Amino acid sequence: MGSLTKKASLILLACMLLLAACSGGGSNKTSSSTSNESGNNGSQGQQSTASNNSAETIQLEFWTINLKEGYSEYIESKIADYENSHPGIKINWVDVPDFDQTDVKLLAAISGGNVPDVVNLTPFMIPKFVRSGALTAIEDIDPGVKDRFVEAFWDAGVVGGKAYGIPFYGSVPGVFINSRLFEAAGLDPNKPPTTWEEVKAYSEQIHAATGVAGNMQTIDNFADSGNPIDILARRGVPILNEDGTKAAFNTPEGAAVLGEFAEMYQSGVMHPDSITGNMMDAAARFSEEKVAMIFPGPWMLRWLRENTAPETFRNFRVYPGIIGTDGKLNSFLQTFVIPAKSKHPKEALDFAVYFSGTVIDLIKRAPVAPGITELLDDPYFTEGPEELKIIRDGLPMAKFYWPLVPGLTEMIEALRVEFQEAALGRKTPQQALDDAAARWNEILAE
Amino acid sequence: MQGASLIRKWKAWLFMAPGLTIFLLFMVIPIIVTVVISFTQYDSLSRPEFIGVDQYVKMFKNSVFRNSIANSLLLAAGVVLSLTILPLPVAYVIERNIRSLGWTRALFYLPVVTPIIVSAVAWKWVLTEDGVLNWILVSAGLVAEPVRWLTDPSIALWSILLVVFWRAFGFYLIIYISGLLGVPKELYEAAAIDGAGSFSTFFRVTVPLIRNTISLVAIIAFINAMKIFDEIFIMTKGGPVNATKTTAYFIYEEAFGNFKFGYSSAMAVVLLIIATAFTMLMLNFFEKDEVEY
Repeated sequence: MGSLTKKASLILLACMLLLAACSGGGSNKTSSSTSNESGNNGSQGQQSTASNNSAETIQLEFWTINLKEGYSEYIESKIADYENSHPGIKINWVDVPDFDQTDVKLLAAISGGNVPDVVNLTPFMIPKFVRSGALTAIEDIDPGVKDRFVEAFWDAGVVGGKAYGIPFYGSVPGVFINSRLFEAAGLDPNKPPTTWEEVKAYSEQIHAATGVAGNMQTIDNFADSGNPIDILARRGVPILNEDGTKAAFNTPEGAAVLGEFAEMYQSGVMHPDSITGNMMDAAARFSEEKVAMIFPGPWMLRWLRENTAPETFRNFRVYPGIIGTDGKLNSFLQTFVIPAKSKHPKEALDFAVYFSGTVIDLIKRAPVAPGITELLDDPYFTEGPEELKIIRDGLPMAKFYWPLVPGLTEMIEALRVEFQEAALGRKTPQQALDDAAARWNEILAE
Repeated sequence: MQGASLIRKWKAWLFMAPGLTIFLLFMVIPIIVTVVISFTQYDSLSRPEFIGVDQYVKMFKNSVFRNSIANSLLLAAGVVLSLTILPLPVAYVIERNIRSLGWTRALFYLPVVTPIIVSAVAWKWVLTEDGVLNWILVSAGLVAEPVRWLTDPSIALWSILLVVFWRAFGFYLIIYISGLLGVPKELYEAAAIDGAGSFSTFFRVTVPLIRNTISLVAIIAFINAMKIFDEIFIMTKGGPVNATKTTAYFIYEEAFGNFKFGYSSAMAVVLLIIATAFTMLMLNFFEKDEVEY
């Protein structure tokens, strides 16, 4: 009897192990350790949330990037409004908190068959999805929708002559200064720098007087202060040749711009985390008064207000961004894309356009620019707080310097590494740009 | 009798089935699939296209890949040496001198159970140029200027090693303590009677008897070192100038950043071969007759 009980227990244990093996998934760092999802319906990755093809209810899965904290009420209320006015459509909202993991998460979802319908995606991620045929061209669904959107924002999602992104909200950079550090260096905080040459000069003065870094310019992809392409392009350095087949930035002018960047880094005038940090690191150093100037969009003011001691926050001022030599402002944008495998592309587009039209409520919480042209005349946008004035005034000059080619993310990475090489003094600026150009040409030729 | 033998074999397979299933599903099949994909161009969104050995040719020509192999092996060497050697004397002292092992084990094991994101983010703050570590070093006069722990290419990889060491020390300490508990106490008494001092006892009695434990620690440390990813992802993203880009991180970057699954699979195959080769060398090195007194 005892032997039988023992055998039965062992068989039961074996069956339990087998069941455990069948129900669990293998480790997947991209979904478990880097994407901490939250949303109306909890964990998304484990359940099938593809659109329901029921005749009664259409379910649309809607992704945003890092908007749950602070914007839940806005999003949930707009979703509720849409559902009320569109009986038969249910929106399942998923917020991706890691903004640099959106492409990984979207890739995993499409590959796994759990295809979302409306996805908030940063435009420079669009080309690689287009290359794989994973996105729907917007005008294939509705040819006339383009006319509703700000032209510069619309063009930021055009790849190979077709648009893939519905503009959601955008930003132009500002100049954030610490008035206390300015005054300590003998500078007038009411006179911010208006050129990049002045940024360098002011930074040197601040560093000499206070020992604090004068500025911080991170070179990560998401820096709306400018990624490496922006840093060159806004100083008049051409990025690609006329037919877009070869890199064109490895000129003496380009080397001069990179040389200035490297010189500031090596002298300590630019904060050392500039070459490895991201825009949130820049905000953190600024809030700690470890740097006197940063250049994100005015929306950063909200984060600084919430994460800085009040007595320190009082020293912060925001001014219009520095206009490039071509009269433009390097800009940033968030779009909505519709995966090609979405089962309800028309409904998805309708919702995406609707949600883009609600952005005034988002703007009331953080100063950004609407993607829809008619919202530019909204009284809140035209007469709102001072930070919005920076956006209003800068929007006509908004420009996206990224070449929208399939290998864009690789190209930005290659250029970023060479920026680091030059900043660290391991290569001359010209050699760094030559090496970056060689790599770009390989990628463009693929 | 033949029937009984058949039943015994059938039962044996039945009990091995769960483990074998897991092994096949999560080890063997993924490896086979990875090898197959390594001969294709594949972005996981469209059908793979067979291109032969092109991915391997491209890979070996890529200086970033060659650099990543070097980084991986350097990091592995650092991890294996530090985590094989340093926990052992600490474990010895703890096991020989501390009555209650429970709280000691818990204390050292705390970093091991701390979520990796928490520890990596915390260390990133500690190691930043304005961070606590530099403040301590500069205040104490040990360095004249803040050290660029994460932004100096010649130091960044060792900063990663520091974090890995801090996290894993407790894990290997526990393994060593377990091994030391198996050393008969009378041998220490005999050594003491023979006039052996602490050092002599440690090197001539303890170390030979826990040779297998040392072997296990070295091999596990090596395998884990070749897979280091999280600390790099959170702290440096492979930079600066690819100084902390290991092959494991490069595989992730090419696969999920650039959608080049064929290329990253080729790198994974090469990494597997290198890791297997080194593991077998280490097994061969440590394989000796068990010591008995």
